[in-house]
Amino acid sequence: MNILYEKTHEYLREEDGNYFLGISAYAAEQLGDITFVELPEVGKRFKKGEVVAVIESVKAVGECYAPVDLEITAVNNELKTKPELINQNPTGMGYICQVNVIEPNQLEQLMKAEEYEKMCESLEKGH
Amino acid sequence: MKLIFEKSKKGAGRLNVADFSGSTLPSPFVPKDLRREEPIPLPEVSEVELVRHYLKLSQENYGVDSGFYPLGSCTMKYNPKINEEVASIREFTELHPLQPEFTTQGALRLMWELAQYLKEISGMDEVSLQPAAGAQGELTGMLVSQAYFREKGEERPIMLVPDSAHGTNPASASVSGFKVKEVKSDNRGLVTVQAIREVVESLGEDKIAGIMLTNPNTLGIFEKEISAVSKYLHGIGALLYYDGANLNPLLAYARPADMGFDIVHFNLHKTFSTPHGGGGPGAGPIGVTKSLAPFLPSPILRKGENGKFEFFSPEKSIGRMKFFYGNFLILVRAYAYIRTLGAAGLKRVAENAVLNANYIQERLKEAYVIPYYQRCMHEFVLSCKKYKVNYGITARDIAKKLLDNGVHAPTIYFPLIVEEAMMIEPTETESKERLDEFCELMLSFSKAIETDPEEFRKIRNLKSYGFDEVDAARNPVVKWSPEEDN
Amino acid sequence: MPYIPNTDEDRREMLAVIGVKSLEELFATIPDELKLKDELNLPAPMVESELYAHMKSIAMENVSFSGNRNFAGAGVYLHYIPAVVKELVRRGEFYTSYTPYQAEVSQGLLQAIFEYQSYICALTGMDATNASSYDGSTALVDAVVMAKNITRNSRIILLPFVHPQAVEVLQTYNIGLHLKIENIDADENGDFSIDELEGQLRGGDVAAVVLQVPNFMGFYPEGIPKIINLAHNYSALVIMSVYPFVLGSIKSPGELGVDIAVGEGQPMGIPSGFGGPLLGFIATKESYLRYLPGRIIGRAKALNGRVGYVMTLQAREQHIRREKATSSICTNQALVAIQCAIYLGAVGKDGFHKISRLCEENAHYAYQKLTQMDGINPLFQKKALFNEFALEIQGTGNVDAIYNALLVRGWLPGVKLGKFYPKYQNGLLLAFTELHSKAIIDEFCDDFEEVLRN
Repeated sequence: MNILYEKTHEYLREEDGNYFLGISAYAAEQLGDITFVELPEVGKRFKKGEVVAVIESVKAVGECYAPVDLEITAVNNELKTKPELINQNPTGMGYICQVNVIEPNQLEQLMKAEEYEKMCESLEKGH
Repeated sequence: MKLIFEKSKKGAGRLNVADFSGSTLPSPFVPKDLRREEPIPLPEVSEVELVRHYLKLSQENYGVDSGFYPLGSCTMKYNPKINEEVASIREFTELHPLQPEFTTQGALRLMWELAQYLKEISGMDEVSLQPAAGAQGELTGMLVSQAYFREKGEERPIMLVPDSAHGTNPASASVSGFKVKEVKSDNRGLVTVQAIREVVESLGEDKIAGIMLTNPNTLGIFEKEISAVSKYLHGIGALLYYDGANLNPLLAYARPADMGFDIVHFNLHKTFSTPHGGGGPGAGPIGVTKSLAPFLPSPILRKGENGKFEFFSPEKSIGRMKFFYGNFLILVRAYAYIRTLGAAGLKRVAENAVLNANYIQERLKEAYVIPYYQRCMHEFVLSCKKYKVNYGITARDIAKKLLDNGVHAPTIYFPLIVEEAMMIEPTETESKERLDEFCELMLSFSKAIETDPEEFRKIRNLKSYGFDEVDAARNPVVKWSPEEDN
Repeated sequence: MPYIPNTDEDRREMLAVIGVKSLEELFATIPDELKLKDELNLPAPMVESELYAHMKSIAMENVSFSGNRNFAGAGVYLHYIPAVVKELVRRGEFYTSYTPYQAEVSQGLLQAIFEYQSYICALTGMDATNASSYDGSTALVDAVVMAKNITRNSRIILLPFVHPQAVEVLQTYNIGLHLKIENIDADENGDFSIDELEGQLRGGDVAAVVLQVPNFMGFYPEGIPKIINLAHNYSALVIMSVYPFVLGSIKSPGELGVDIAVGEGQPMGIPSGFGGPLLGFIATKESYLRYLPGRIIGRAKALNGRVGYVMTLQAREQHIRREKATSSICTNQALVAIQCAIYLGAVGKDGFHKISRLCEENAHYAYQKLTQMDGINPLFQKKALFNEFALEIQGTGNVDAIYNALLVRGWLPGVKLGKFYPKYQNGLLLAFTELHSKAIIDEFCDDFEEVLRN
C-alpha cells in the first residue's frame, strides 16, 4: 500500500490512482474520541497547508491540512453519522475525502510511513 | 429528575399574576398570514410544584454558599448578602434605561463614582462600564486598539498572546480582526522580553499591534519583567492589554497602569464579589489611558459643570457594545463592595488572598509536583503528572474524588503549559480551617494513591463519576420535545 | 474585617508554615518600583447599616415609575414579575455557583438551563439554542456571524426599523467582521419596496436578511412570508428579531421558515434594571446547531444509566478553539436565563397567552383613544400593531413640552423618537403591557388631552 505522511499528521493513501486524505492514527489518538467532522465541499481546491477539514472531539479540536495542492473529488459521508470511524480505522474507513493531487511533485516532500513513525516516537518521548 | 415540562397538568397552572381577562384564542389583531392558531406548548404547573421543582434543582447544585470552591482563575469569593439586598432596591430595579437623565441621577452618580474607583484602583485615565463580561471587555479593548491604529494610519494586524493565556484572549483578538501569534513562556513560566523580541523580529516591528497579558499570569506568578516588556513594546509602537481576571491579589498593592498597560478589563464578578450566577451575568468594564479614551464605546458618563451627570459619546468612539449602559444591577453590587471595604479593606483582600494560596501551596508542595514553584500570588498550579505516569491516576480522578468528598474541584487541565494541571485559587474569604480540610483531603489522596492505586481508581465506578460526554456530543439533545411524553 | 474569616492568630500560624515573617514579604515578587507607595484614594469603609442608608439615598435620587404609569418600551418592557420568580432565583446554590465545568455537582443548574433552552425552542419553534447571549443586540450579532459562516457570504441586508441600538452594536462588531451592512430605507409611511429588496438580493453574496417583528416602531412589516421566500430564493438566510410576547400571537419563526430567531428576553420576568443585566436569546434549526456560539447544555447518560445534563459541543468554544473560535463569549447571562425559565413556568401556557393578548388589547385601546385627539397623528397610518406604536405630536417642540408636562403628572410617557431618528423629531413611542388596565389608560389619556389643550 502506498501511503505518505505530512509533518502535521495527515496522510495521503493511493489506491488505483485515487488519493485518500485523512489524519494519522497518532493524530486520532491525540484527539481522543472524535465527535464531529466538518467536511470540505466537493470540487473545492486547497493549497498545501490550507485547512481542509476540522475534527472535533469532546475537549479538543484538530485540523486536517492539505499536504499538497489538491482538489476534493469526494467526501466520506459515513463520517457524518459515524465520526468514530476515524478512531477505529483512520487510514482505512476513517479517511476524510478523496482528492486529485494538483502538483504531483509536491508528493516528494512527504514522509514515508517508516520515517513518520519515527517522528511520532520521538514526539512521544518529548512528552 | 423530571423536567418541568414532564410535570405539566392541563389546567394546573393558573397563577394570579395579572388581570386574566385576556383570551387564549387566536389573536384578532394579527395579519392572517402571520396569525398563530395553536397555543405554544408551555407547561402548566401549580405554584407550589414550581417552587418544589426549583428548590430541588438548587439542592442539586454547588455554590460558594455550599462550601469551598477553589476554582482557579475564577476568584470564587463569598458574595456578600447586603449587595444582593441593595441591588434589589426598587429605585434601581424598576428604572427604565430610556428615562430622561434628570430622573436617573442616582444611577448615573453610582456609575460615575464606580468608574472613578476603578480608575483609582487600576491607575487608568478613563473607564467604560458597558461590557457585559470579561470576554466582552477584552473584545472592546481589541476593537479600541483597532480604531486607535486605524486613526494613526498604521496597519498592525498581529496581536501577541502568551501560551499560558485564557482562551478568551486569542478568541477576542481574532474576532476583532487581529491575527494571533503565540509567545512561549520561559522555564519559570514567565513572559520575557527576549521571547517577545524573537516573535516580533520574525514578523516585523511595525506589524505588531500589542500583547494581551494577565499579571499575575495563569500560573499565579507575577510577571517580573513586565516593566521591561512594556518599555520594549511601547518602543515599537505597540499596546499592552491587561486581562483583569487576576487582579484580586494586586488590589492596593500594584496597578496595571504603573506596569505600562494601556488597556485593562475588570471582572467585577471575580475581583469585586458580584455573584457568578452559574455563568453570568457578570460585568467587564474596561479602563484605558488618555490616548485611547476617545475610542471608548459610547456612551460614557461625565459630571457636568452644574454637578449633574450626563452621558456623552467619546469623540472617535468605536460605537456601542450592547444595549444601553452595561449590566447596571451588577455595577450596583460592585459599588457596594468597594464602599464597604474602602482602600484598607481592599488591601486586606489582596493580602489574605495571597496568604491563603501560599499556605495551601506550602502544605501540598511535597505530595504534589509544583512545576513552577515559587512564591505565588492568589493561585498556583500543581501537576498530577507523577500519579498519572506511576499509577494511571489523572487530575480528573483527583478532581472527582474531591467532589465526592463535598469540595468543589479546582480548575483542571488549564493552563495548557502544565500537564495534568490543577489550578487552585482559595480566595481571601476562606478560613484556615477550610484550607486545612482541603489540604488534609489532598494529602490523604496522595497517600491513598501511593498505597493502593487500584482502590483509588474505583472513583471511576462511582455513580457520580462522569457522564458520557462523547455520546452527548455525537448525538446532541439540547431541548425537551413534546413527543417524549408519549 | 468584612468577609475575611481568618484571625491574626490564624495569619501568624500560616505565615510560619510558609516561612515568611510578614504579609508584605509575600509580595516580594512584585518589583519595588511597581509597588504602590500611597494608599488608594477611595471613600472610607462603611458598616452595613451605613451602606444600606447610603445606597438607599442614591437610589432615591432616581425617579422610578411604577409599571402601570410607565409607557416606555423600545427594547425594555415593564411586565409584572411574580414574587415566586424573585424568591427562587435567589437560591444561593444557583447564584453563587459558576459555569458548570463539573457536571456532577451542577446538575441543578444544568437542568435549569436545559429547561430554559427548551422554553426558547418552544417559543421560537426552533430546534436549538444556546445558554444565552449578553442581550438582544449581541444575539443579533451572533446570528449575523452564524449566517456569515453558514453561507460564506458577506452582505447583510437590514429591513427598516431594526432596533437602532442593535444596529449600532452590529456596526461596532463589524470593525472586526468586515461585512457589508446595507439598509433598505422606509418610505414616508414606514413601508419599503419588496422590489428594492429583490434588487439587492439579486446582487448575490447575501448572508442574511434581518427583520424585527414587531419592528422598532411597533408594527408588523408587510409580507413577512414573502420576504422569507425571497431571501431563500437567493440563498440568503433570514434572521428575525422578535419581542417574546408577540410569539403568543404570531406563528413561530420556525413555522414561518426563519433560519435564526433572536431577541431580548427581558420582558420574561427580568426587571428593567436601567437596562442591564438583560438576556439575549438566539435559536436556530437543527442543521445549524454547531454554528451557535457560547455554552450549550445537552442531555447525557451517566454511567449508571441515569439521565443528566452536561455542557456539550464544547469544541466550538473559545476555551478549546482559542483564536479559531467564532465568538469569545465565556460568562453569559446564566442566572437571567434561569429567571426567565422560572417566569415562564410561573405564568405557564395559559398566562403567557393571556399576557400576550392583554398587551395587544391594551395597546389597541390606547391607540384608538390617543389618535382621536387633536394634535396627535399616528406616525405611520394603518399599521397592524402588537403592543407599541409611534405617534406624531404636531407642532415643533410640542413633543418636549407635552412629555415634560406628563412627567410632572407622574407618567413616563414613552420614549421620544428624536434621539433615535432625527427625522422623527416629533415622534413619541409608547408601549403597553398587561399592567396597563383600561382604567389606567383612561386616566393617562385624560391627562394627555389636558396637557395637549394647555
